[in-house]
Order: sequence, then structure tokens, then C-alpha cells
Amino acid sequence: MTPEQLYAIWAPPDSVWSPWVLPVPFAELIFHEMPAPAQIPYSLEWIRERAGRHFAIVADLPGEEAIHYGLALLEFGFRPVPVIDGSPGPGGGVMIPPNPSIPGHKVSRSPSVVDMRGLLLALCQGAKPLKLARLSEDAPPAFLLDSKRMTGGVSDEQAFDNRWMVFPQDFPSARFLLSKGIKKVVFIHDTFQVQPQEDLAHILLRWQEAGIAVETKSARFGEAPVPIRVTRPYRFRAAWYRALAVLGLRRNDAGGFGGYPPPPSSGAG
Amino acid sequence: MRPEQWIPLRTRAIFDFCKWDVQCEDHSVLSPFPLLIEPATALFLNEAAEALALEAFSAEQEILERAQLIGRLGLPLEIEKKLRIASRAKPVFHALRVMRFDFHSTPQGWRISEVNADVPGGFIEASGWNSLFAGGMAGVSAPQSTSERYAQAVRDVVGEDGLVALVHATGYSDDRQVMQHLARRFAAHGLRTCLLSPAHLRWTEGRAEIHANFASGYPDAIVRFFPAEWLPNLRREDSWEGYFQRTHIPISNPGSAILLQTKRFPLVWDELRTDLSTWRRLLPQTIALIDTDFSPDNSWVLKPALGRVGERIGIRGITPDSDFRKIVVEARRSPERWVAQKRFEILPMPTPCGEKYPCIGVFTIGGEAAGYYGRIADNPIITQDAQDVAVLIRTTAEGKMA
Repeated sequence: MTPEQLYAIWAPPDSVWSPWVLPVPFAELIFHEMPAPAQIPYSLEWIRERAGRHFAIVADLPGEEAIHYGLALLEFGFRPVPVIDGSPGPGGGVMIPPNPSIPGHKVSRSPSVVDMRGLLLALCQGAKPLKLARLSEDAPPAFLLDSKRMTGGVSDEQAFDNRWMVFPQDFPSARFLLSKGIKKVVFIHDTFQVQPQEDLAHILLRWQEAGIAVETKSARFGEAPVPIRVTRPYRFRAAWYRALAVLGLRRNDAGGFGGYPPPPSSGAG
Repeated sequence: MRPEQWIPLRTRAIFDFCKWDVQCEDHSVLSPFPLLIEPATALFLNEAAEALALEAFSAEQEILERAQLIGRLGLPLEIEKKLRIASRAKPVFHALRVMRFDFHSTPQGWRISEVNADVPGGFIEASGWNSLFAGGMAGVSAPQSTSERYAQAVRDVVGEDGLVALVHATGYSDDRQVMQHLARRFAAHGLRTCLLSPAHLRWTEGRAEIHANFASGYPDAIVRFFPAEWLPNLRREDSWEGYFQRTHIPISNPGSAILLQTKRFPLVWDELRTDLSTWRRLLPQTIALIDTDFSPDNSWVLKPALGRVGERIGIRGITPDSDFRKIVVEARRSPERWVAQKRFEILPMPTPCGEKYPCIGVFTIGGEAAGYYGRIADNPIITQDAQDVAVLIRTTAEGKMA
């Protein structure tokens, strides 16, 4: 299977949400065989209780967990939409599965700040279940994000800095969502913070201000989602937010790009 | 264009040419129709761009030799200091200089709004998107591929198997895609490449060495896709000072390109001996904001000296009011980092998606015309929200979709 065949499975031509499946992680992917689907460990009973109601999901979970969560939602008729804008890093791509000729299947340390190997493997694992799923053209979307996108694991200035952010331009507008009958979004996280990360708050608050309800819940527990008021992020709706954010991303780090826009309390204008 | 035509074309753009940013909120970044130009127009654009490039090279050299002019260009202080030292170095090597001149159609003919002399973008579109679109049409031809021309130029300078460092903002996929695209084209011309951030290079006596946990070695050439004015933000000075010094390896583009990139470049024209007649004819009048009482009416465009992709450009009546007010405040606060440029009327053109404002970016490599990057927008400012449009040359009167 080629990268573009895998991309076509995740972004089929007949889905209205396909334009928002970012090609970045697919474009640099190298793999030789189709791995078995992953086991999905999440309890999703809360969705069953909301059967028949049309809402979108934004799952901001670490690495492969975001993809696995999206695959688990297939059973409930959701279309997983990976919004992953990070590049795996050097080496011309990531080989999936790892080369078995390497003694002991030794897993070397990723040269990149955000190790994306697990996430890429999960994208490959999604091919079979996605092909078998019979989703309708207007199946509600589950946008999938890597919650480690701005932090990563390696703090070596010689590492390949592949941290990234999401921007409003990466998602459909509130108007588009409403035109597809989406009046509510459930934000899924795995922390004790009910508020989204700064970059995601720019998107969720725009939607909320346009009349889309936002609820939140932890992926780890089975409780029902609860409504939240998204906290206004720094530079919300500011002109050239994207350019300024990227500038901030690049200013503060010798490795290139690790610093992010300072929070309002830091006093930056 | 029908979906059965459109989707394969878009897919080819993504996977064959690394065009990853294909969607912006609710609209496609790629235009579903091309911009057709006549051969005579193509010839005019090429000749004008080449004349502009040659005049620019000469002006840049003269500014370097007359270092007192550098301080008037609105550059970061650290860069100004380095360039004053560079002024004593040998003439700048031009064979790998890449520029993009942005042409607009006006009632008075073609005019340019600016030159992207530092890190011009648009390689993917000027190579992949143009050729993909041409493949599905009759009676048209694609302009020359900018990336092929670039790869050949680099290969001619460094030779087969030369190692080229592609320096970029690694965390920013919009830049990463350009580097991946160029790496493929360079490999096809027998070059080796290494994609890295500027922080992965250390400069010593005019040579750069790779310091990364994934690569090592000494590049034979450097392609810089990282704006010059951001380089001083790197923690280590030896990661960036080389771009502004005498080097033993070619850099595309050297740091001195910022002398042309700044929108304040026209403010020193009258003190140069260089003939800038093409620039004077094609670039609208540009003035300094001498006093903070300058009140821009509808006939002026406010531009920051080092703005990119249309950011912070202010046009009364077109820029949203609240943004325009912020721009005016900022320009009055730091007039030495802004200019006002006489506004020119851009002719909209009818398209299948309503009236649009086109802009044709003409690349030059080593001073020779090297392809077109087309964009169209709903209003006269070309920003990140503009669509990329294929630019094709009509070869028969019937040039149309096949």
C-alpha cells in the first residue's frame, strides 16, 4: 500500500470532512505491510447514551491514542479526521513496521522532538477498520489531534524540532459545521484540565461564539461530557495571529522553534 | 472542473510535489481553474523580471560598498552590524540568487508590488501545479519549472553528489513541504540533501558544519528558506553570522538579500549611482513616514519594512477598519520600520468563481527568468488567504480545458 492509498482511505472522496485530513504525516510515511488493528481500550458508553444526536468530537490525546480513539468511534458512526500537521522528521519517513532484521527489534531513540512513530503506526492500523466501516457521507466528524504536539519528549538542541500548532485555518468554520447540522462539539482530553490547550482554544472559542455548544470530558473516565465556557486565549482573533504565533514559535529556541507565544500574564503585547 | 478530474490532480499535487497545505478553513488553497497568459505577456514578464534582477544585484553591491546607507533600511540592528562588516568582503555571488517579482495587471500596464529577494516561496506551485494543470488542457503549455531550473543551477555550481543543506523552519509544515519538494528535485539532478534548521549549522571561517543528532558533514551549498531577519533570534551567533559574511560555499540566498527584501529599499535609490530605471518604472512611488502626523488616505498603502505574505499591509477601505487602525498606530510608533507606497489600481478579472485579483510572481534564478507562481484573491491584497492558481501560456487561440 502506498502513502497515497492510505491517505485515500482516511480521506475518501465521498466524505465532506476529507479536505481537513492533513496530508503531512501520510506524505512522508514508508511502510511495507499492513499491521493488525490496535486494541481499543476506551469506554465509550457515554456516546451510546447520546445515540441519534448529531455532534462532532475533538479528541486531543497523546500520539497514537488520538488515532485509536478515532478508530473506536467508527462503531458509533463517526468519521475520524486526523488533523496532524507535524512532520516525522529526518530519514525520509518512518518505516512501518520496524525492520525485523534489526537485532532484538531494538527501538532507537527518535531523532525528533515529537516522536511520531506510534502515531504513524496507528494511522496504518486504521486502514483495515476504515475500509470495513460503512460510514455515511455526512457521518459526523471526530477531529484527532496529538496533544504532545507542542511539547514532545526530547530536549536536545541537536534534535529535529518538529513541534507544531493548530490554527483556525486547519478546521472547518463554525458556519460550515452548522450547515452540516453540527450544533455541539465534545472536546476529549486526558488531563485534569477541562480547558483546551492554547492553540485549540482559538478554534473552539470561535465555534462557541458562533453558537456551537462545547462540552468536555476525559478519555480516561466514563462520565458524561459537561458544558464549558472556553477561556479566551491570548491574541484571540488578532490580526495576523497565525503569522505572530509562528514567529513566536521560532523566536525562543536555539533548536529553531520551540518557544510558543507567551501567555497574557507575561506582558508581551 | 469535475470531481473525477479534480481529486486525482489534487492528489498528485500532494504526493508528487509535496503540496500539503491544500485546504484553508472552508476553501481549497488550489484554484480549480488556471490563469492563461499570452506568449507576448510571458515574454514581457520575463524580460522585465530579468532587468529588475540585474539592477537589483548592482544596487545591492553598491549599498554594501556604501555602508552608511544600510542604516536607513529598517533592518534589525544585529544584521545591520554584520552587513557593515560584509561591505568589505568580495562581491556577492549571484549564480544561485533566487528572487520572485510580484506582478499585477493595472490600467497602466503591469506593475510590481514588491520583490521577494530573501526567501521567495512558490516553488511547488511554479513547478508542480503548473505542469499538472497543463497536462489536462489543450492549446496551452506550462512555463518552465522553477524547481528544475533551480536544481540544475545548484548542480552546475556544486557538481554531482554535492551535499546541499536545506535550511528551514522544521516545525512549520508549510516550509517543510517546500524543502521536501526541492530535495526530490535536487536528488533527481544527482545532488545529496540534508533538511535541517539553521540551529543545526555552525559557521567557522566561512564554512558551515552540520551539528545534528541525525546528520553530520560539511555542506557544499546552502539553500536558506528561513527569513534573514529571524536569524539573530538563534541562541548561537555562530549559527547565523555566516550568512552575512564572506563564505567559501554558495548560499542561496546570502543574508545580504535583505537589502533588497526590505520595503525601504526605494528610499535610498536617489543616492545610488546604479541605473534603476526598470524599478522606477514598475514599482509605485514609495516614501518614508517622515513625521508621525502622516495620515494615509485612500491613495497610500502602508507596509512594514520586513512584512511577509501580506501581513500588516494596510489599505484604507480594504483592510478591516480595526486592523487598519492598529497598523497606523504601529507605523506612527516606529516610522523608521515602515513605508507608504502609492496605491495602484489592480484590474480584477472574471473567473468561474466571480471576480478575482490575480498576481503573477515571476521567479529569476541567477538573474534569468525561471517560471511563474500564480495567486488570486478576492481583494487587491494578496495574503495567506489567496488561492494558488496555475499559470499557463496559451499556445493556440483555443487554449481551454481538455
